[in-house]
Amino acid sequence: MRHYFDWLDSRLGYRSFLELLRGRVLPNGPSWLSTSASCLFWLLVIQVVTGLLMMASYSPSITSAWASVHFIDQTAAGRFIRGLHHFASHAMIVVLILHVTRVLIAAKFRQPRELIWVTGLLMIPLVIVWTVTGNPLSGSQKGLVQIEVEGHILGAIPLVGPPLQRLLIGGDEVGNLTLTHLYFLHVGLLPLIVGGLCAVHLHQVLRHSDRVVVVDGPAPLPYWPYQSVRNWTVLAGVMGIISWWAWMHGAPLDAPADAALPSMPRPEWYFRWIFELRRSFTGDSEFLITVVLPSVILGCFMIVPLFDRWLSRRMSAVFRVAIVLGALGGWSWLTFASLSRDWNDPEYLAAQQKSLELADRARFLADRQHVTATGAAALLRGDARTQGPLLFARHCTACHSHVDGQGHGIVAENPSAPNLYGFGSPDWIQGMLDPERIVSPQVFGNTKFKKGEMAAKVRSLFKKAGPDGVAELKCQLELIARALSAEARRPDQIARDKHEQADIKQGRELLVEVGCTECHKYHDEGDLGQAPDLTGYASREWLTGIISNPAQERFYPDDQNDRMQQFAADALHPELNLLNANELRLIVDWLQGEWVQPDPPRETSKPSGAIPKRQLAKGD
Amino acid sequence: MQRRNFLIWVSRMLGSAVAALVALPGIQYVWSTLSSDTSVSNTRRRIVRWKDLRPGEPVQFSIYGERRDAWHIEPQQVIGRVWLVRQPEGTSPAAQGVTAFTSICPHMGCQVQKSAADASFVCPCHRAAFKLDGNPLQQGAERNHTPRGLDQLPCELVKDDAGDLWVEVEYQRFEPSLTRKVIKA
Ligand code: FES
Repeated sequence: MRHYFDWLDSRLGYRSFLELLRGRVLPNGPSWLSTSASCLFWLLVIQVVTGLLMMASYSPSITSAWASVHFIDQTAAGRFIRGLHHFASHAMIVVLILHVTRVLIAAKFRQPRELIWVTGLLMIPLVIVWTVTGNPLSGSQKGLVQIEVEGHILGAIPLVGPPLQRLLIGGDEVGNLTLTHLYFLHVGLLPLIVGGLCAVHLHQVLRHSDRVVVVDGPAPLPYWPYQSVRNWTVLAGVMGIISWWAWMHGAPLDAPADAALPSMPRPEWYFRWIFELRRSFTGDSEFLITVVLPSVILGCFMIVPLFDRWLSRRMSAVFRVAIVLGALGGWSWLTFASLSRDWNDPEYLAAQQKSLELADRARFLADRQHVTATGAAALLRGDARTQGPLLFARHCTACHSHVDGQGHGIVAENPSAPNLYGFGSPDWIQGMLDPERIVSPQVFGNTKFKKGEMAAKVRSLFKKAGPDGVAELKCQLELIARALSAEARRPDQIARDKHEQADIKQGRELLVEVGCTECHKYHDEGDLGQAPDLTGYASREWLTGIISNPAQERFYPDDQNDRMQQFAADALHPELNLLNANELRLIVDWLQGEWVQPDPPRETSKPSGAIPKRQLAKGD
Repeated sequence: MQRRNFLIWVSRMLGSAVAALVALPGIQYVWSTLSSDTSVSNTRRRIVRWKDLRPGEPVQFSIYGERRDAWHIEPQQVIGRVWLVRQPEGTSPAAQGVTAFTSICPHMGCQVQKSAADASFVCPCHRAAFKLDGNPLQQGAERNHTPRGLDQLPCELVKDDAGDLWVEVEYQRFEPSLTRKVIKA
C-alpha cells in the first residue's frame, strides 16, 4: 500500500503540501476563536455535496419545480439532505459574519493581508445572493413572491436597474425563464465566483501566514492536531444543530406558487433590517436603502485597513470595537423592530397560519392525487376545500354567512340571508321547520321570506297541533327533515342515509301528508312555480342550478326571488358570468362538503342519531 | 505525546462523523433510485374486435394507461404497443386464434416494425428479424442479434354482451437481452 502512495507522492508531492498545512503555526497558538474559517470552509463543502445530490432530482420549470422538490422530500433521505442544505445556508451566513467580526477585531487585515480582507468581505453579498437565488427554486408561493420583490428592488436602481431586472427575471413576469436563470446563477455562476474567491482567499492566507519567531520559551503548538481538534469540535457542533433541525423539520416547502392564492411575503431574517429601514422611504428613493446603503456599508468595511493606518494602534482598536458594536446594535434593533411589528400584527399571523395550512394541504394532495403535467399549482386550484372559502368570501358574503355552531367559519359583515353552514343537512332543514328558527337571522330573519308563506305555514302547523300535539309534530318534522336531507346526497351523509332507509321513506310520506307539496314540487307530487323544487333538494345539481340562476322556474321564478344574484345564467357566453364552470363546481363541492378528505370517508355501520320509533303514533 | 495521540484520534472521529452525516444519507438517496417502483403497471386491455383483424396481417395497437414519471402522473398515456396477428385460417389448432407480441425488441428494447418487404417483423436498430409467429428469422448470412423470439403476451378472445368477439391482452414488460423471457418486476 505504502508503495502506491509513494508513487503518487513522487508525482504529486502531496505530502509536503499536507505537511505545510499541518505544521502551520498560528501566531497565538491554537484557539477556539480561530475555528470559524475552517467551519465556513466545510459548510461550503457540505453545501456543494448536498446541492449536487439534489441536482440529480431537481427540475427547474414552473410546472415541475415544486413537484420535483416535493419528490426529493419523499425519497429516502431526500428530506434530510434538503434540510441540511437549507439550514446550512443560514448557518453559513451566521458563521461568515462571525468570522469577519473576529478578523476585524483581531486586525488580521493589516498589510500584506488586504486581499484576504477584501475577498472575505465580498463573500458576504455573494453568499447572500447565493441563498436568494436558491430559495425560489422550489417553485413555492413564498419563494417566487420573494424573487418578484427582489427583482423589483433591482429594477428600482436608476438606469441599470430595469435591464438587470429583466435579465434576472427573464422577461417581465416570473416564469420558466426566472427559474432557469436562478438555477444557472445558483448552481453555475455563483459557485464559480465564490470558488474562485475562495481560492484567492486561501492562497493568500497560506502565503501570508505569520512567521513565528520563537524568542524564548516553548514553540507554539502546530495546527495538527491542536487546532484541528478544535475545528472539528466546532464543526461537529454546528452540524449537530443543523442536522437536528433538518431531521425534525426538514426544509420548509410553501404551497406551489399561484398568483390567485393570498400571501403576505416577508424577507428572510438577514434582510429584515433593510425591510425595516425602507419603511420610511418610498418610490424613487427606496433604492437608497435597499441597494446603496448596503453597498456603502460594505465599502466602508473594505477601507477599514486605510483608517487603521491613519489611527494609532489604540485608537484603531477602539474604532474597530465601536464599528462592531454599532453594526451589531443597529442590526439587532432594526431586526427586532421589524419582527416584533409582525408578531404583534394579527393580520400577519393569520396570513402566516393560512400559508402553513395551504402548504400542508398542497403536500397532502400531492401525495393523494399526484401532480399531473399541468403542474403543482393545479392541486390547490382544483381543490374545493381551498377554493370554496375563497370563492364564498368573494361572491356570497354580501348576504350569506357560513358559520358553524361555535362561530367558526366565514362571517358576513351584514348577513341578510340564511347561514349556509351545513346546507342540506337534517339540522339545517329543521331550522326551516321551526317557527322560531325560521324567522331568526340564521334562516329567513333578514329576508323578505320572514313574512312569507313558508314561515306562516310552519306557524300554523304548530298552532294546529296544539300543546299536546307538539311532541308528535316535532317528531314528524324531524323525519321530514331527514328525508329531505337525503335528497342532498351529501358525502358525509351517504352512509347514514343507507342505514336509515325506513325513516327516510316515512319522512317522504309525511312530507306530502303535512302539506309541503301544496306549494313545493316533490318528485311526482306538487307543481313548480310557487316555491322551490324539493326534488333533489340541496344536491349538487340543485345547488348548481340555483347558484347559476335562482330565477328559474324550479326555484324563485318571477318576483319570488329576493335578492339572490344570477351567477352563471348565460350558458352561451360563459365568459360573461360571474362564476365560470370550474368555480361553480368548486363552490358547490365545498358547500356539499365534497373534497379530498384528510381521511377517506368511513362507512359506518352504526346508524347514528336514528329517530326513536315509539314516539310515533300509528295512523298519522 | 499521549495527549497528542488522543487529540488526533478525536479529530479523526469527529471528522468521520461529520462526513458520515452527509455521506450516508447521500448514499441512501442515490440508492433509492435503484429501488423505485416501475413506471407502468401490468394491465389487461380490451383492444379490438376479432373480426376486424385480417388473417396473417400484423397490426399494431397502443396500450393506454396511467404513466407515473417521477413527480408527475398522467392518466391515459400510451404505456406500450402491441402487435396482434390473427392466424391464417386453418393453420394451427388455435385456428382462429390471435397472437399478441409486445413491440419491444428483446435485443435492446427498440420498437419492432413490420417488414415492408414480406410478412415478418424487423427491428430498425440492429436489424433483428422475426417471423409472424415471433420466432427469430434467419436472413441470409447476416447475424440476427436477438437473444430470443418476440415476447408473446397473454391474449384471450372474449365475447361481449352483443355477441362480438374481442381480443383482450395482458400487457407486460420483459427484461431485454436475456435468452430467457423474464417479466420485469
Ligand atoms: S434493439 Fe432490436 S435489434 Fe437491437
